[in-house]
Amino acid sequence: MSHPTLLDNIVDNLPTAVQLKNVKDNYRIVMWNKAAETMYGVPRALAIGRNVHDLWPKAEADRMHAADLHLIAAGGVQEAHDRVAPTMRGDPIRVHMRKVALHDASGEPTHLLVIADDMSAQIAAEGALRDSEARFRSLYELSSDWYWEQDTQFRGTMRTHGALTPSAPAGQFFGHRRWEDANVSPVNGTWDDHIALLDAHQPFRNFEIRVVADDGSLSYRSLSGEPMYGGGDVFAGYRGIGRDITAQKLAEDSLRRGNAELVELNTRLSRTQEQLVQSEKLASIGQLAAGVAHEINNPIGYVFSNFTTLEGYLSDLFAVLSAYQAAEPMCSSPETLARLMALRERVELDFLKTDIPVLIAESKEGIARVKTIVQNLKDFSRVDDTQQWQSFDLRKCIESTLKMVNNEIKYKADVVLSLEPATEIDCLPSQLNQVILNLLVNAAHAIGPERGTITVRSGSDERNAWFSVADSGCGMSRDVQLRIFDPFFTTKPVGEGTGLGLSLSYGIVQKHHGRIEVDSTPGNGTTFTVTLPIRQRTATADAPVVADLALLANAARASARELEPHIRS
Amino acid sequence: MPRLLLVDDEPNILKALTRMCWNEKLVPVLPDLKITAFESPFEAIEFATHYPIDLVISDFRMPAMNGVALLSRIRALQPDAARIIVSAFADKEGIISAINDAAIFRFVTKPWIDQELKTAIGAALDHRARAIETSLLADETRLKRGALTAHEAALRRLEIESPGITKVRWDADGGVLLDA
Repeated sequence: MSHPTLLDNIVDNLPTAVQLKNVKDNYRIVMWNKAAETMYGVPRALAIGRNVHDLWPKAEADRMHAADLHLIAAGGVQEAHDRVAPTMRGDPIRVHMRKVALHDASGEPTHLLVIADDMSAQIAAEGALRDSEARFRSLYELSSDWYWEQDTQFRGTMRTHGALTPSAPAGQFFGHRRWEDANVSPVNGTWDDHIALLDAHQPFRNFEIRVVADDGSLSYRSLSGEPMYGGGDVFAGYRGIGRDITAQKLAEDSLRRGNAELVELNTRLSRTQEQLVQSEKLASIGQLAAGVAHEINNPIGYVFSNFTTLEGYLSDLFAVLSAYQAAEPMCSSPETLARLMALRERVELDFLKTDIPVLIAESKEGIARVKTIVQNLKDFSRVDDTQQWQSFDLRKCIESTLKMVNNEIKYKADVVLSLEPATEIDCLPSQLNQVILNLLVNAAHAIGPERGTITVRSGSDERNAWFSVADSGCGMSRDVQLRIFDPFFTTKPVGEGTGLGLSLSYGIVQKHHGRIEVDSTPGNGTTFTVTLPIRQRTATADAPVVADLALLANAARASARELEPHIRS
Repeated sequence: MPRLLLVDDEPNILKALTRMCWNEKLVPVLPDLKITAFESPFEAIEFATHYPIDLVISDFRMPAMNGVALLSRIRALQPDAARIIVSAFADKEGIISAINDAAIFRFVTKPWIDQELKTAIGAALDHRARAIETSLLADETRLKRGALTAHEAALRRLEIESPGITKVRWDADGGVLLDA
C-alpha cells in the first residue's frame, strides 16, 4: 500500500462517501474514503481490492454490478436521489447516489466513481413533517373550527375549511381585509379598535363578527389570532383560528330577549300592583268623602252663616257701646263713672273693637278652607260626574291651563314650552286641565326664592300621547316620592296644600287608563310625566286593571314556556 | 208679612237661617218675615195643611224623608209656595228629581254664603208675588170677559190666600173632614 497522496487526504475528509472501482480489474474497489467506511459499515482494509460480489449478498451484488455495466456501456452520469443501499451494520440506508464513468486519453472507460450521501435522517424528517401536516389538516377538516392566515396587510391568504362551517365565499376572504366586506360587522368591538390592535401586532382572542350571507342568513364567528414572524423578527402577517358561534349567539339572544321580557313583565306587574294599591286607597277615600262631606258641611254651614250674622250683631253692639261712651259725661255719679272707666281699661275695649272684626275674618277664612277641603274630597268621589268624553287637543288643554295659572307662576319661574302641534286625544277635558293645573302649581311651589324654570313638553306615538312638567325646584327624596299620591300627603306649609292635588290627578289619569310617573332627585328638580292612550277602549273600560292582570299572567306563562328549553340547555 | 217655612233635621241650621233672614246689617235686607222652623218633615207637612206659606226652605237629606219628597207634598198642598233646597250633599239623581218632581226655585249648597242665600230668598218671594199678581189680574180679565163667574173668581182668590180652603171636605153633619 503506497503512501497516501494529497488527493487521498482530500477525499478522506469529504463528508460524502467516495469509492472508485477499476473497470479494467473486474470492478475491484481502489478507493474507499472514511465517509464510505462510516456509511456502509465497511472498513477500508476490507473494501480495497474487492468487488460488490465480495462484499454484498449475491442478489444485491448482481443488481449493483448490472447497473455498473449499464453505466459503462451507456456512458455519462447516473444519478439516483433515493436509493436503498445495504450496509454491513445490517439496516439498509437511503442514499443520494451519483455514478460517473471515468475515461483515459483514448476514451476507454477505466474507472467508475461512486459518490453517495446518506439521506436517511433527512428523509425521516420529511416524513415526520408530512405526517404532522396530515394530522394538522385532518384536525381542521374534521373540527368545526378553521385555520386562517393573513399577509402583512391583513389580507386573507389561507384558510382551511371547517367541517361544519358554511364559510363565506372565498372571494370575500382571499386578498381582502375583513373590514372591507360590508356584510361583515364586529359584534363585541369596533373595526377601529381591531385595526389598531392589528397595527400594533398584538394577539387577539374571541373577536366576534357577524356575517350576512348573500341569501340574507345570519351567522356569527369568533376569531382569535396572533402575529406571525418569519426569519427572525420580520412581521409576516397574522394567523389564527375561527369558530362558528351562530347557534350559541342565537340562543344567547333568545335568552336575553326572554329575560328582558320577563323583566318588563315584572315591572308591569309591580306597576299594576302599585296602581291597585293606589286605586284602593283612592276608592276608600272616595267612599269616605261622600259620607263625610254631608256631615261636615252641615256644621260648617251654620257656623259660617252665624259668623256673618255675628258680624252684624257686633257692629250693633259696638254702636250701642259708643253711644253709652258718648253719654258718660252726663253721668252724675263720679264713682259710677270711675268704675266704668276702670272696667273699660281692664277689658281693653279699644283693642276688642279692632281685634274682633279681625278674629271674625280669620275664622271665616278658616271655615272657607275647610269648605275647600270638603269640596276636593267630593271631587274625589265624583258623584257629581256628568262630564262627557270628547276628543280634545292636548296642546290646547295645556295652553289654556297655563293661562289660568300664569299669575301664580310668572313671578317664580320662566315657562319653557316644547309642545307637539295638535294631538287629539279622548279625554275629559276639564279633568285633564285639573291634572295639568296641579302639576304646574306644584312645580311653581317646588321652586324656591330664586327664579327657576318650568319646562312643559308633549309628544305622542301611534298609541299614546304624553306630556311632562319639569321644574328646576328642590326635588324630592325617595321617601317623599313614595307617598306623593297618597291622599292628604303634602310637603307644603299648613294651609297651602290640601294634600289632595296629586292623588286627585292620579285618580283622573287612572280613569283615562293612563299613567303618571315621577322622576326626581333632591336638589335637581322634579319631572312628572303623564302618558294617556289616544283612544279610550270602550268595551273593557270598567275593568282595565283586572284585564291587564290577566293578560300579564298569560304573557308570563307563555314566556316561561318559551324559555324552558334554554334554561334546560 | 211673607210666611217662611224652614225644615232641617239640624236645629243649629234652623237657627242660623233664622238669624240670617233677620240680619239687617247684610244686604239684601229681606222684608219682615214670619218664620216657622221644623226639624221634622212631617210636622212641616202638618203645618202646611193648616197655614198658607210663601216660601219653603228645606234640607235635602233628612232621616225620615228627603227634601224632594217633602217639597213635593207641600207643592201638592200649596202649589204657589216657592221652594228652595239648601243641601250639604246631593247626587245627580237627587238634583234632577228636585227640579222635575219638586219644581224647586233654587238649589243652594251648604255651606251657603249668607248674601247669596238671602238674594235667592228675596228673588223667590218676588217671583211668587208676581206670579200671584199675574194670576189675579188674569182672573179679573176673565171675569170681565165672562169666562169666569164672580163665584169662581172669589173661590180662586180665597184659595190663593188660604190654600186648601176651597178643598175642605164636609161630612153629612156639616163637620170638617181632616187628613189623618
